[in-house]
Amino acid sequence: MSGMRPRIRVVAAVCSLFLLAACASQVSGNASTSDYADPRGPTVIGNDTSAESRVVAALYGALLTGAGEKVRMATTRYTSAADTTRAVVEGKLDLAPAYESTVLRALPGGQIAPGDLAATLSMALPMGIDALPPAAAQRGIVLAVGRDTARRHGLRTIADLRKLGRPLTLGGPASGDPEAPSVSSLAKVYGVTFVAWGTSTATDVLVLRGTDPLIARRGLAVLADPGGVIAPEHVFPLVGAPYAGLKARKALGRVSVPLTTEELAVLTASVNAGKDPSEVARTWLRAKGLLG
Amino acid sequence: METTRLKRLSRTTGALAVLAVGASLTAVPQASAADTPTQKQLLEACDFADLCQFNPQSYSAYQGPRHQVGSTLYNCGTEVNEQKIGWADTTGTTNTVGIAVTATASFWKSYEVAVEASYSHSWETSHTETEETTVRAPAGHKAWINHGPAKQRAKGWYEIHFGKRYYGHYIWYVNNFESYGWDKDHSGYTAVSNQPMTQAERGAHCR
Repeated sequence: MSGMRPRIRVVAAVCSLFLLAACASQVSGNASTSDYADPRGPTVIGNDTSAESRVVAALYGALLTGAGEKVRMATTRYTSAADTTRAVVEGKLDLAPAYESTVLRALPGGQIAPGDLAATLSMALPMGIDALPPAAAQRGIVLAVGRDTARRHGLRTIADLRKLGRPLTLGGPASGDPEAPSVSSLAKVYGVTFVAWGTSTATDVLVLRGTDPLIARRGLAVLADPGGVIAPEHVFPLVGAPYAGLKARKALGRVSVPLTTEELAVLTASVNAGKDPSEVARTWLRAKGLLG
Repeated sequence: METTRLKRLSRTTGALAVLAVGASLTAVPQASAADTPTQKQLLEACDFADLCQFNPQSYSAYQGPRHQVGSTLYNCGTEVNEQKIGWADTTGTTNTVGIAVTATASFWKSYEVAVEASYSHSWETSHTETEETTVRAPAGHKAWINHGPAKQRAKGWYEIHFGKRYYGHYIWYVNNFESYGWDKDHSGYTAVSNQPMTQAERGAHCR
């Protein structure tokens, strides 16, 4: 991607100068066209300022380096995941950790394939940008209860909360997040009555990010969302096609299964505690046998 | 005088040199056009490329063009004539590049996998519908069957990665590739039409 857009601009300039029929095939429209793009240099990996993004970017960097690819970490600081998404699409970055629903919000207007997030992502992205298969880890919003409460009442999904038979308070660190489900949407899908309780953690049901260290610290049980009220946010490599060859895809795909939400939470906590993301990433990859 | 002539000569020479350079610049793009693979060549190269991936960007179901299937029933009698007419209609798969679609071609396998995974719609390179339709022709009329197959189309872009430079580059894209084929998940259009026979038709079919 970083080599593609400047080359298209040069071709367009040549076409306008010489008005050749051959160049007309490069002009986009409804006709099929062809174009080329070659990697310009090392894969430039970016991230936003969150601990999750920093450590996942470091995982990608270590995996690609281990596979013999040249990489460089970007020096530009990006505030949010939406910013890094746009940076990859614009060719300012070659690769960045991305999150499904965040990408779709950053790139609206594509066709939607109901129930198929991979297809919807493909349709949202412009030519030259790939969404590689996601990891199991999600950094999106989750609802959680105490483990003892979950065990006592057999709570595994949000729908199971109906068994408690009373209105429940809903609050927590991520309750003000724009992605947090509303009380009304939860009631509509699951028939459970909630009372919004702000950011307090002294609530019946907690609203947090899936990677919040509070989940491990308090031994919380995360409730599944079979009704799909909460937008999925699996982490995946968003990459310019020139940097998504077979070797890179295989390397980046090695974390798809082992990088679960729980594992990402532990990695994130280490970075939040002040450890270097590259060191955290390499240590984890070696422990998982994913790095020589 | 000599100096002026020399200056004029050098200006003329300079102008000629510019014209020559301009002409050669005009010639160069025509030479580079011949060094570019066609889209057909790129898709055929999927058979030996390191990676050939189709990325879908849109999908829709639609009705194919209506046309007559089966034979025409000519009713030369004085009462309504009703018959079952068997017919077969084959819908192939076409595309915007004009490349032949075969089940074993790598570019096509990549397309099928992507479209089936993305849209849960299977794709056949060719499908023949075979049916029997009851046709009624009033006295002195001809009747025939019109059919429009259910079709689907998926559009997107190919990225093709080569281990060694292909026409000078490691990665090629084919953009706006669209393929059209039979859609098994929707019903096509089938209807019977009739109209009075012409004199010529009576002469040809009613003896």
